[in-house]
Amino acid sequence: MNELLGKLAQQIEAKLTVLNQERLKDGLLSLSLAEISLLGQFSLIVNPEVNSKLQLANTVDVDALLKCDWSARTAIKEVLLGLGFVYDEHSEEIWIPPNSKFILLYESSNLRIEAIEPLFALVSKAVKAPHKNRFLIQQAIGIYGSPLIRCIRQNGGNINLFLK
Amino acid sequence: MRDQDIIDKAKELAQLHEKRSKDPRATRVLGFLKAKGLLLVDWIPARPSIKFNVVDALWVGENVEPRVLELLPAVVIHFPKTAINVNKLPKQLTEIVDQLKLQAPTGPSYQGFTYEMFKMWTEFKPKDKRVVPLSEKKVMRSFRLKRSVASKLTELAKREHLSEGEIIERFIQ
Repeated sequence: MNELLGKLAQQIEAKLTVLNQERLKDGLLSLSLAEISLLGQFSLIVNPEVNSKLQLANTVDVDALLKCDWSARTAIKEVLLGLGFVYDEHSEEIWIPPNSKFILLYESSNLRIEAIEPLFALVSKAVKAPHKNRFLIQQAIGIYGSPLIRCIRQNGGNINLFLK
Repeated sequence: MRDQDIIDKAKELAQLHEKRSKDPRATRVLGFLKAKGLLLVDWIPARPSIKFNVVDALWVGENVEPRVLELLPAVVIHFPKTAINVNKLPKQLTEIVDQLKLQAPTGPSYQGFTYEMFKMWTEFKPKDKRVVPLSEKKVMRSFRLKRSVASKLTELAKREHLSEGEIIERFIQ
């Protein structure tokens, strides 16, 4: 597992355990499973294979869909802050290409973390934010080749924007 | 255009990009942003104590890493001694910086980056304890209070180990 992802999972897990212990003391049910779906650049950074192939630069905001209790959500955001990241509250607005696949990165009884597959993360970037990601997509086309080109075109992206 | 031609062209451009990312302008600007925890780049060492010309930062934003443009207004505001030649910023970016300083809720976009994105970085706490998010920056105010109220304020501040300003802030918040 990627070192950053390992820290993230371990620290969130610890926070959720404490929250559950407190709830147990108060006679409440345990929190439901917290599910994190990583999107955007962060999903690429935690993927060791992509990280070794692409020269990635990332601002410290994390795009992710969070499906969990409000207190777990706060705990996740606190852990991210502690690791030098900030959760992007606009994550729900991120466009996910149809039929996108996700890779399971971590799973326990409290927490499940998955990341959008690199190809779909790149397509989302190429279609919705081509200017910001043009150098990344240029590199990625050289690596992923025809499947990426096809997927960008199928989703209404303009390949010519990356050939300047 | 055939896929193979696209791939060849993309590889050629990626090589040019790799060369540009080693340019001293890129290493300075990206190294500074890395040192402040604003940008994660693993191919460049952190450069916490440098100054850079905004013209170089604009070049890096155009040719190496567009996210530099997203961060530039916040850098200009929070690190005024680091970013030099601010008068060379394009008119639209100057306008954005001015709006951000006024904490205006809305403002113009620039090269695909929305005003909200620029605003978010003025509120971010970098790895530099001297930097305070814009919304937490203190502003000067002066009031005339009745003697009895002023004494009570001093007394409260002493008791709570806070400043008089913090007592007023706490009351209002």
